[in-house]
Amino acid sequence: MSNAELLDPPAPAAVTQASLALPAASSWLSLERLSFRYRGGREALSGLNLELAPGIVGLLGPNGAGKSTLMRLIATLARPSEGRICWDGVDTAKDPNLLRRTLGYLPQEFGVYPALSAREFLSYLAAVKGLSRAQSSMRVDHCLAQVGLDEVAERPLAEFSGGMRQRVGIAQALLNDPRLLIVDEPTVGLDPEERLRFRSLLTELASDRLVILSTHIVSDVEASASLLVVLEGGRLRYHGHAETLMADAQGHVWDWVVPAKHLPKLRAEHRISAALHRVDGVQLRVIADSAPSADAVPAQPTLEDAYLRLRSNMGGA
Amino acid sequence: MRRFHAIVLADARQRWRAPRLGACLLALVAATWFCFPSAEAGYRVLGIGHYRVAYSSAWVGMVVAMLMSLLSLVGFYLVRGTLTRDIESRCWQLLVATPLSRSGYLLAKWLSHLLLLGAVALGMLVVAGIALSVRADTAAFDPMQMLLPLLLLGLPALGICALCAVLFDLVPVLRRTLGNALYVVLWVGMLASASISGGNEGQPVVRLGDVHGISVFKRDLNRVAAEQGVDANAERVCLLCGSGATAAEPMTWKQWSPAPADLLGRVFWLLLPLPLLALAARGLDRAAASPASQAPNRPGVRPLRWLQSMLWPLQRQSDCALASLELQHALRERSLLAWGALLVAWIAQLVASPAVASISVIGAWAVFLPMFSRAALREREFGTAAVVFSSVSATSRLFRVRAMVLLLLGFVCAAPALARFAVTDPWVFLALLSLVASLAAWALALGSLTGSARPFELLFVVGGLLALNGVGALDASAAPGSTLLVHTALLPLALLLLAFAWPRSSRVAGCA
Repeated sequence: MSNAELLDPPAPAAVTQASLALPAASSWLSLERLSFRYRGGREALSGLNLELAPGIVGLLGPNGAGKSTLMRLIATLARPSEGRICWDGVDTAKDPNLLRRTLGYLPQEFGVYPALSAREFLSYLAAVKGLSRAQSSMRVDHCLAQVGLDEVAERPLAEFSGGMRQRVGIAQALLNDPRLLIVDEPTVGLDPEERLRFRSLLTELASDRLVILSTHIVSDVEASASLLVVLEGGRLRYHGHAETLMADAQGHVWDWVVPAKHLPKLRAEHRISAALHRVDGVQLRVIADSAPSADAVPAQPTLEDAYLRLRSNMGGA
Repeated sequence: MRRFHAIVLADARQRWRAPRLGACLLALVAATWFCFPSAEAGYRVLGIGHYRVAYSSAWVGMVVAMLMSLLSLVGFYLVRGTLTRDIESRCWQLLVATPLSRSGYLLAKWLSHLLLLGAVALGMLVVAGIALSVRADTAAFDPMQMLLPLLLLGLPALGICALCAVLFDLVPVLRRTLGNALYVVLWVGMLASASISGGNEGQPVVRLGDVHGISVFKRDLNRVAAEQGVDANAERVCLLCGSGATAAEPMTWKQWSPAPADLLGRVFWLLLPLPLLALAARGLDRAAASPASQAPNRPGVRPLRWLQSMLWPLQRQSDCALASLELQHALRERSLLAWGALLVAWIAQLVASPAVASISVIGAWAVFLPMFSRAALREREFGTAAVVFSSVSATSRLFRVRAMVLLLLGFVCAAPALARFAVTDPWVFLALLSLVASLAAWALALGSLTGSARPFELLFVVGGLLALNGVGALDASAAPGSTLLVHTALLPLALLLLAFAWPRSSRVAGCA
C-alpha cells in the first residue's frame, strides 16, 4: 500500500504509520503530539508527530493549514498548547536558546530598518544573534555574496526593491551558519533567476543541515525538497518522499483537449490542474482515477498534480 | 453614503477589537465617578471658590461638559493614528483606486473619531447620571439639562480634537512624537485662550477664542454666584479644584440657558472642521505619498563616524557592542536642528541660572523623546520582531541593551548639568540621577505595557509644561528633595511593570 493511499482521510492513524515507516534514526528535530490553540480556542495545529533529519523538508498545505504557526512554534516564537518540540533531544520550551543558537529564520513577513544599509542591518542582526565582531564582519560579507547583494551592500534598504529585501531576509537567516533553517515563503517577490539561485543555495546548504521550506509554489518543493510534509486544517496529512507521492499519482493524470466552450462545464465536473488555450481548443490536465473521456491520454504526474490529487482525496481543493 | 458608513464601521471595528482601547475607555468612564464626590469628600472637581454647588441635572451635565476639555487632551491620543495606519498599511492604495472622494474619506475619519469620543462622553454622562441619583441634593431629574451642556460646550471641543487627530495624521512630520508633543502645547494654548476670552458678564458674547466653552461656563457661574450673594471677584471658578473643600458652603445651579450669541459661537466651533477637512483633502494624495509616512526612519542618512569612534571601547562586550550599534543607528536619524538644540541646551545647563539649567535638561531630553518613547516598540514598528526574538536570549539581552542605551542617553543629555550640580548642589544632582533612571524605566515600562509611545510622550510633555510652571515633576531644581523621593519611590513600580510587560510584549511582537 502506498503512502498516499494510507493517508486518504479519515486516517490519522495511518499518518503515524507512514511517519514511522520513514527512517528516523538520525532525527534532529522531533515534534511529539504537537498542538496549538489560539486564545479564542481555535485550534491551529493538532496532534502532530514528526521526526526530521538533515535535508530539505517541503511544507505544503492550503491557506490556514497551520504552516506558519508550525514554523513559529519551531522557531520558539510561540509555545505549544500541548505536546513538545525537541531539538537534539532537548525540549525547546524548556531551553529555547539551545535551538536559537543554531536557528536561521526567515518569516513570511518581516521588516527592515530603511535608514540602514544592507551591511549595517545585517551587522546589527549579527550582533543581536550574539556573533563576535570578527565573526560578524566575515559572515555578513559571506551572506551578502551568497544572496548576490554584495555590490549594493552600502545602499540604504529604503532604496531596495521587494525582491532585494527578500534576499536581505534570506541573508540574515544564514548569518549564524544555522543547523536548522526555517524559511517561510522565501521565493515570494524573487525574479525567476533569483528563484533558481535560491533553490541551488538551499540544496547546497541542505547537505549538513535541516531546512524547513514552507511555500505555496509546489515547483520550489519539487525542485529542492527531499521530504514532503502536507498539512491541512492543522493536521498532518502526508509525510513522505515527493517521488512516492508522484508515483502514487501515476495513472491518475490525464491530458485532454476540449473545445473552449466546454471549459466551464468540465471545470465543475472534474478536478483540473491546468488549462492551456490552444488553436484547436483548450488542453486540460485532469486529475481522475479513470480517463475522463476516450480522447484523454495518460500524462506523467508532476508534484503539483500529485499534491492536488492528495488534497482532492482529502476532500479539499 | 454607503462608503462613508463603511469607513466609519471599519474604523470602529478595528478599534473595538483592540482590548487595550476598551480597557482605556472603561477606565476613563469609571474615573468619572470620582468627579462627583460626596458632600463630605475632601475635594471638588468643579466649583467656585470654597462653594460647593449642589448636585442637580444641570450641574452634573455641566461638570461632564467641562470634563470634555480634559477628554479632548487624552482623546487625541486615543483616536489618532487611523489615517497613518491606512497609509502605512497601504490600505490607502486600495481606497484611492475607488471612486471615494478625498474629502469624503477625511470626513469619515473625522466622524469616526468623533463617534468614539462621543461614546466615551456618553459613558461619562451615564456615570454622572448614576452619581446624580446617588448623591443628588434634589430628586428632580431633567435629561435635557444634563445633555445640553455636553452638546453645546463639549461636542465642539471633541470635534476640534478629532479634527486635530486627522490633520496631525495627514502631515508626515506630525504623525509621530513631534505631533504628540505639539498637541499638548496646542491644547494648553486653547485653554489659555479660553482664559483670555474671560468669563465676566460685560464681555462680548460670541466667544470665538474659546474652543472648550469654558468662558461661557465661567460667565454664567459668576452670574449665578452673584445672584446668590457670592462675591464673584473674590471667589475664582476652578476646574480640578482639588482638596480643601471640606468646609465648603453650598450654592445651587438649577438650570443653564445659553444666550443666542453663545449658540453662534458653539456652532462655529462645531462646523469649523468641515471646511478645514475639505481644504486638507487637497493635500491628501501628497501626504499619503510622502516617504516619511512609510517608516519612522529617514532613508539615506550618513553614519556618524565621530560617534562610531567614540563608542569603539564598547565593542568588546557583546551587550555593549549591540547597545553601541543601536545608539549609532538611532542617533544618526536625528536632524542637524536636533543636534543644534542639544548644544544650546548643554550651554544653558552650564551657564544659565539653576532653574533654567534644570529646564534645559528637560529640553535636551525632549530632543531625544522619540528614542525614549519608542525604545520598547522598535521591533513592533519595524516588523523585525520575528527575526530578532528568535535569537539567543533576545528578550533579556534587548532589555539590557535598551535600558543601557536610554540611561546613557539620559546621562549624556544632562551631562553638563550633572557636572555642575555635582559641585554646587548635590541634592539637585541626586534628583537628576533619579530622573534619568526614572525616564529610562518608565519609557520602557509604558511602551511595553501599552504597545504605544503615546502614554509616555503625553506624560513627558505634561511633566515639561508643569516644570515650566515651577512644579517639580521633571524639574530637578524646583524641589530636589521631593523629586528625588517621588522618582526613587516610583522606580520599583516601573521595574515591576517591566518585569511583567517586557517579556509579554516581546512574545506578542514575535508572534504578530
